[in-house]
Amino acid sequence: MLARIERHLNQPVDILPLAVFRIAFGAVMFASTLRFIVNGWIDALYIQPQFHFSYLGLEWVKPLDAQGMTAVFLALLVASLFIMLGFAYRAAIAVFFILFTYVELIDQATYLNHYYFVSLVSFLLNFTPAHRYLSLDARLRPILKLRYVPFWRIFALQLQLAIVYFFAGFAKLNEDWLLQGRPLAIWLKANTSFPLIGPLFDHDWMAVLLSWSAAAYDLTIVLWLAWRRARPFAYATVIAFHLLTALLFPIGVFPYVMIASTLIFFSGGELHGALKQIGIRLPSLPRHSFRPPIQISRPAKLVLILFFALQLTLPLRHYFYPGDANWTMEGYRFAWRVMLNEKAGFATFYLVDKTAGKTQIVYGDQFLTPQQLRHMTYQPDMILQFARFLAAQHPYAGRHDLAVFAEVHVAHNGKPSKLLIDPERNLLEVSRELFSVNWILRY
Amino acid sequence: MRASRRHVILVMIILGALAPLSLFAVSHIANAQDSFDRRAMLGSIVNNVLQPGQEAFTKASRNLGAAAEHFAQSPDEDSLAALRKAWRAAANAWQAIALFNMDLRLTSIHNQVYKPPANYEFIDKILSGDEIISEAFVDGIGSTSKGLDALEYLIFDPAKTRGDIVDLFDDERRRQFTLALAQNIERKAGEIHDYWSPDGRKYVDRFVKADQAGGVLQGTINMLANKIFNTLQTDLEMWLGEPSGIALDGEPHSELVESPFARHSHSHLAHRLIGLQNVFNGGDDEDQLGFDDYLIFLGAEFDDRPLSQVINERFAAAIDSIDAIELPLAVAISETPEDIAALYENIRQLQILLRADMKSHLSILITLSDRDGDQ
Repeated sequence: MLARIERHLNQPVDILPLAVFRIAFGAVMFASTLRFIVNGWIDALYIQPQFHFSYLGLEWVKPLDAQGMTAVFLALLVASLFIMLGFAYRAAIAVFFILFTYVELIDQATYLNHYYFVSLVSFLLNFTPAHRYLSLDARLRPILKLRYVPFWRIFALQLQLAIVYFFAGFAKLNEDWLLQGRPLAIWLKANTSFPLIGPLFDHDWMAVLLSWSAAAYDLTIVLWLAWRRARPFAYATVIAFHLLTALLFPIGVFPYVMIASTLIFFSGGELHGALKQIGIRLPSLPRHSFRPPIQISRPAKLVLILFFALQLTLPLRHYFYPGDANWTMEGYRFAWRVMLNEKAGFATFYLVDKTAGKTQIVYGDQFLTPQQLRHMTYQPDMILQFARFLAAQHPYAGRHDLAVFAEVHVAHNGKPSKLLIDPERNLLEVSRELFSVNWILRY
Repeated sequence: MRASRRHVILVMIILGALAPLSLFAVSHIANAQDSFDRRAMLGSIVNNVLQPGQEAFTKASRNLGAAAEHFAQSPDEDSLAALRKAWRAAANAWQAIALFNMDLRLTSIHNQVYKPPANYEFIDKILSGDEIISEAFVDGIGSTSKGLDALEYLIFDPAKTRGDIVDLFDDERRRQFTLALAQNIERKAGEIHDYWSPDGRKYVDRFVKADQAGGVLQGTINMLANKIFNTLQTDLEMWLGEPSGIALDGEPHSELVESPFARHSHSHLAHRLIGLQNVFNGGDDEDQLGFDDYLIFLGAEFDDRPLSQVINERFAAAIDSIDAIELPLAVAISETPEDIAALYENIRQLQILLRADMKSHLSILITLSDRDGDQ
């Protein structure tokens, strides 16, 4: 069985889908990075904040100064351009992966699922010879040209997409999503001026219908894309679905990332045919490029097995925490839990100087950016970090006996606000550990 | 022919998969609600809150200008009392509409009307300087040296008698500056009116038409909701938390109250809160179309009661607790701190409902950045 799978994964397939994927991915990343710079988000997200919410175990990841962060984003811009052009590809994709992942690890408040997806895809692209066709590298060094690659190089990207869609759909199988149509109902009602179908968004049944459709889409789209006969229709659905989400919700480049990425499901023959129909003739390949593809090395195989084992288990880790992950946010990230929550919170911190017998109320807006404050008010781990930061800011930090309590009210998916964490718990006595969550209250 | 038959089969499979979903959805149509007219709600806020508020402020600023002119011509205790009364009326009228600083231009004008605390040092420099003081001169100086708060600095001082204040106005430059400040406030009231007016810059059209709720940061509902949140937060932190010491070191700081010279802080606060409640209700009557009706339409509840009703109760509790404070705020923070603590808590409780519950129901954005629902 394993031998059959291995044989299947090693069978030679046309390199064209990989090359098209590289070009599309590079183009979307170039546009995305440019948009990030033009919107002034380097300053807003990485320079202005006086405090950053770190990931557990990665507290050492810090932003550079203004010049350094600007240099990082310019390097990302150049790297994504080079990826698109297939120029110095090996270096470009390595630089892109390292810098992009570094930027995303600086502050939890900037976490987005599609940024995580980009990190993973750029990691996988380090294992693929996507520059050996339709690239400047191949043009400048024809010896690089390759006609076939083993199927696993394409399958790795397909599998990654399948994981994203499946877990995104699986996470939607909950009461809020399926029975109440929430949070879609909330978001749709804010979009009733949308052309043509906007007036329907005021009706709850529309939210339920779209919620079910979105869950069905996420759970099955990869199957439709994998089925050759259904593929053109499935891809049309991908475009329609993601464009609709782009028009309705402020989700940035996510829809375009997915539209570009799902091209990887098309075969070389299909892409050749499609390009021919629109008048694009691809350059012919020299004879030497038809050599048998290089098989996967043992270390690479091991890395990929570990990578996908992690990808298959991370989205399930929330089952090890008590309570609903949508409320506690424990095990929520890196799990493709997309579009599940509409949350708003209000946090009051009580900074108690036990030595002086004084209490000060703090709200956080004098230390955090609006974006950080918004995320912090419904994410316990960030509340804990901020409590420690507050204590460190106290004029008598280290000399007086301090305590920090937080009264945090959170409203979730249209349900009445409730306390998120135990307001009687001194947050300075709570250790920041992976499974220390008994101070988080259940809804 | 074979290919088209396959296509037909494929389409049938897809439609077959969608059919149960459609049936499920159609079964919900019976419960369909009517649409909510957000533009009508914004229109109600304009007609019942903004326009009457602007008219009141325009009239009050005109009275203020007239009182300042009279005082400048014949400064005595009576004319000072009349000027102070006009100032209080203008300040109250202003607080009710202060949150309508919807864009950069309006923010700039609003700052010129009221941006406390005033820069007292710079005002003293002007008084002791040699520039020709006129309304045009005042129009050109920075917003922290003019407006209602600058005028307050000139005509009020709790440590001085009225007679002492009048004596200060033997100085002609002080009289000129006071008059110019009042005239400039009158001019700004006119500019604000013109900016909104259908006969002027027509901002009212943009206000009502940008009715997108949460989806677009610049949507009027989004902006108005954020104005309400921010106004209350400023009250909690700056105008109550810091003077009372609740948000500082626990000790009262009377010098930090909003209106330290006129001792008008709690009137400012009361009128601001009433103004916010009027925006929430679309007017001074809960029957008018406002955020309260929008929340009812959305089915928003809290403790099994309509969220809008609970919010209105919290507004009322906060306003009542202001009324319960009999002393000026600068004094009450030391003499009756329990009253201040009660007021503070009522505003905080109101803020919880607005920033958690109302915000969640309306899907209000507070920053312009991407999100994918992973919040």
